[in-house]
Amino acid sequence: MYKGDEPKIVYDLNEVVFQCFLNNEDLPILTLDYFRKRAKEALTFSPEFKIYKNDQEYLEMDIACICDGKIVIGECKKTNENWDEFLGKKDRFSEILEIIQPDIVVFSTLDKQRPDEASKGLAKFINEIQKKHNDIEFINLNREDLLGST
Amino acid sequence: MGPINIKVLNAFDIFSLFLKEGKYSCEFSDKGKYFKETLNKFEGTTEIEKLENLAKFVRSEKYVLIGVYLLKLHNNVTRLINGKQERLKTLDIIKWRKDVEKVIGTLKKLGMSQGNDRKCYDEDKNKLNLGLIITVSIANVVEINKKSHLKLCTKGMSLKLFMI
Repeated sequence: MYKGDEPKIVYDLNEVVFQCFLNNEDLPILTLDYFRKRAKEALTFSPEFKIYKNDQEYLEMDIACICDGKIVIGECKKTNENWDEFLGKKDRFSEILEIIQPDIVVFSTLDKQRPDEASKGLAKFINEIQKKHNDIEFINLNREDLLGST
Repeated sequence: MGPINIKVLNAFDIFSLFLKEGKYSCEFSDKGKYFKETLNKFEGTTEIEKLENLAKFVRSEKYVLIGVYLLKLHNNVTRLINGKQERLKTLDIIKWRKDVEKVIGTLKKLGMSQGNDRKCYDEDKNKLNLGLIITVSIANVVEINKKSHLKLCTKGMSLKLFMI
């Protein structure tokens, strides 16, 4: 270092926090926060988990929480273009849905349009489940629902 | 009669039990672990309070910096400021902070309207109505660049500005 040079201040983001946001965890955070606001009595939630069948990775569950005693599961996609990827695993999701038997299923996106409005395939999938389980409530969240109020 | 032990199950325990009945098993994914650790870094005595603060952070202007920071780590990102192009090599967030502040300052001055109805900067609330998230449309960014003389240019990756 030459005389007169000042040491530089360097900031670094915590690796775990960095990985969290790099992996688009902002959307599950906002979705869980939606249920925090909705909860009148109690909320308990789980971070995203992987489900295994016969020791093989089977499905990932983005949202899993219990809001006022109601079991909630769900899927998050940053943009509506990605719902086809989810629909590729819809049979697996249905299978897990039969096991967990949730009260609420949530689909969320940061796009302006709600997931069921943007994806015909998703809307069809929701209809199919509703025919079998008319007691399940489906919630489709868009950008306004998630970011609209602080 | 011996002591009664009561264990309060958390959400993950409950979902694990459901899945176990169906002969499935589960464990936190990497993303889930990152989320859990990040949540614990936020203020709050309960998980709910921590979640509230974490979500507040994601909705805040500070999250813009995280977006830029992540973007900067992308190898193909180049930066154009006042027409001078440099390839990013270091993680010098301070310079970027100044750039972002420049954009925010310009938006405050212009009160520029984004889309059809709302303004980017809400003078009454003294609050920026824009957040920055990686991916999607670069068009909005370019529009702001014209006014602020700051250009964030990406190759194979784009920025999304959205109304908060």
